[in-house]
Amino acid sequence: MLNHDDQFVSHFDASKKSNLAEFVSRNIREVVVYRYALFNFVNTNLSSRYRRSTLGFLWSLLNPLFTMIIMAVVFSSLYKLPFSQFSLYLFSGLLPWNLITSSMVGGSMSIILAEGYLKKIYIPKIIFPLVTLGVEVTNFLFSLVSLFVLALFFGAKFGWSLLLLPVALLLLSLFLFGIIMTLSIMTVFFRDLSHILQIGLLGLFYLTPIIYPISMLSERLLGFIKFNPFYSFITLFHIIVYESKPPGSIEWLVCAGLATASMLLGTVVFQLYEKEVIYRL
Amino acid sequence: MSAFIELDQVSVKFRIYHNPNPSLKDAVVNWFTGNKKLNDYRDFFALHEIALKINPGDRVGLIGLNGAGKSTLLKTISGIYKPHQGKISIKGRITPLMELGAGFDPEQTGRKNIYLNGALLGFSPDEMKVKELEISEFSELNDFLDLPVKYYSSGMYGRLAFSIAAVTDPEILMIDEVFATGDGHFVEKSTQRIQQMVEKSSILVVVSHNIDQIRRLCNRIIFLDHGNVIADGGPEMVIEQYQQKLASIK
Repeated sequence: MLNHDDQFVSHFDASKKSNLAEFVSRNIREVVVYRYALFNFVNTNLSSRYRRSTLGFLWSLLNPLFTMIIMAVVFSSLYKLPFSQFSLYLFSGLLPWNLITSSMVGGSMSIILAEGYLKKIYIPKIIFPLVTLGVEVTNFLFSLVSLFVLALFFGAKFGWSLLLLPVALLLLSLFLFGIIMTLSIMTVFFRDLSHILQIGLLGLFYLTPIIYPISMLSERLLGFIKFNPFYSFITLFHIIVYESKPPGSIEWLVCAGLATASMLLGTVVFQLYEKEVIYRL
Repeated sequence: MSAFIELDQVSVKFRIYHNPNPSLKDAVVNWFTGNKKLNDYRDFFALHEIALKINPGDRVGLIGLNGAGKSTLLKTISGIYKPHQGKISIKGRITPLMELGAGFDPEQTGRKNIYLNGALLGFSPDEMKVKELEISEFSELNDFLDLPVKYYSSGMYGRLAFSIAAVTDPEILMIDEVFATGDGHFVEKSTQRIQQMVEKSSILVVVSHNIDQIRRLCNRIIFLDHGNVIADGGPEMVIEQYQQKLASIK
């Protein structure tokens, strides 16, 4: 409970330029104060997603499972690869990819769709990109369960490397949060951004080795594809889940670097334009 | 409790854009064609260099014509609008009775919305659990609380929204013309409740076009016009000025 009196003291001075450290500490403080609202939004969002179906919550497990099985059947026969082996490869890449696309598309709309709240009551804007990330990461965890069920079914071995999965997920989440912060603000100024984003993501999907094995690519194409930042994250998941071994330090460093850069970008964009957003909604 | 609100030369600018729905496509096209119209806008001051100090015990009524900046001032105090100029300092928990049901999710039940709305006001689920019964009794919704809010009549909707706001103990109470929802019986009940809340609160800021109501609730009136404070003081003096203004436009 907000018993501290200081939590209800606020100062705002338009002539003072807020610096990055101040901005970050204020936002962290506000997220703590509004944490119940955050949990509530994530909760209602998740429950309304599955409420209308009889199987309800089970759909969150079955839907990705069936989608992936169909894709695995199609592509393993196309490439003439053993189904059980290819399906694990496909799933370990497709699940994080789904997290990437749904959180980017959802996140880009998060502030615009919150107009009803933002214009009527004070609520820190950072909450809404966070809600998107929270919802999508929870969804990812659900579908991870179905991935493991499937892996067990095909007799895949669970290695110690799986213990590194939370670290990979954390890095990916940070990377995505930076991007979502940037997108959520940009969409307010460019309303067609989310359409462009969906097309762009479709292109990137084929530029990331998910539905084809990396060995199918020529050396030259591979060099090109490595510039795709999503490649590094998908590779991280491939190594941990599919190859079942710990990623090397280069892989970790690249992803950590990308996550840091993205968080920095998102924070700067948010700091610069956060106050302007309400006047453009 | 020493709640206060202090505004120092606060200005809020609104921009009317030539193109209210900017798109990346337009931006790119205009960049190539050198068309600058996209970014055309007109500034106007919704609030212009407002300096105010509201002290504990103040019951402030904001009056003025439509578009004078009354609601903008309320929203600026509650932090929705960040001013382009000036300083704001506030101490005390703000309870807004602005747009009833602002934080409602129509798909969720009334009971769930109690928690959601409470969370937006900064209350934990445990605290709301304590208040739930009181809200249920005051709103007289009882079994309807387990129905999604979208099936509510507008009277029921308003009753629930008011009841949630009514069980919080406000230090700074902000009211934007939200009285009187529901049937006659509930209107009477909520009017009484507002009176109680006003008495308990340290500071009241209320926007209303209803002069009788303002007279009843307030001990200080601020008359706004085009974002400027025209008069600030005791009720009778300011109300007279306001009525002269009203008469002059007729």
